[in-house]
Amino acid sequence: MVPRVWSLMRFLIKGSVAGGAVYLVYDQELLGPSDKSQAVLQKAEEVVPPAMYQFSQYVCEQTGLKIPQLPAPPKFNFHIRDTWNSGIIMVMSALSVAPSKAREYSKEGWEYLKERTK
Amino acid sequence: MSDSELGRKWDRCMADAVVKIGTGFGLGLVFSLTFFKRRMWPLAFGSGMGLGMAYSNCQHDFQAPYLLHGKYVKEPEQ
Repeated sequence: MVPRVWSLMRFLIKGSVAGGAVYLVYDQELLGPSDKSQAVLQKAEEVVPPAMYQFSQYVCEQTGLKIPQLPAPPKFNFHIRDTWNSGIIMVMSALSVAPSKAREYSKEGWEYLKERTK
Repeated sequence: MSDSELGRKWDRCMADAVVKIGTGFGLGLVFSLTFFKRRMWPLAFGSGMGLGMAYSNCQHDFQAPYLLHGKYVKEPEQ
C-alpha cells in the first residue's frame, strides 16, 4: 500500500515539474514568433544581472563571507552585424599591413643577429 | 531590402535561434530527468526541434520581406 502511494506521489511530483516547465514555455511564448523571442532575450538581459547581484549580496549577508567583485556579465544580446563587420575590417587591415610588418620584423631580426655575431 | 533591415533580420534570427535552442534543450533536460531516466535523446530531440523552429522562422522572415515587425516598447510609468 505504502510503496504504491509513494510511487504515485513521485509520478505526481514529476508530472507537475514537467507540466510547469511546459506551461512556463507556453506562457512566455518562447517557442513563438521571432519578435517575442528577441523581446524575451532583452528582458532577460535587463533582469538577470541585477537579480544575480542581489542574490550574491544576500548570500554575503547571511553567511558573512565577502565575495570578491565579479567581472561584468557578458552581454548576450550583441549585434551580429556590427561584430561581423568589425571582424572583417580587422582581418583585412591585418592582411594589408602584413607584408610591411614582416619586412620590418625581419630587418630588425637581421640587425640583431649582426650585432650578436660582431 | 536595405542593408540595415537585413542586419536587423539577421540579429532577430540569431536571437530567436538562441532562445529556441535553449528552450528545447531545457525542456528536453526536464523530461529526461523526470520521465526518461536521464537518457540523452530528449536533450538532442529538444535542441533539434528548437533549431528547426528557429530555421523555419528565419526562412519565413527572409522570404517575406514586406511584413512589418513591431517593437515592444515599455510604457512610461505614470
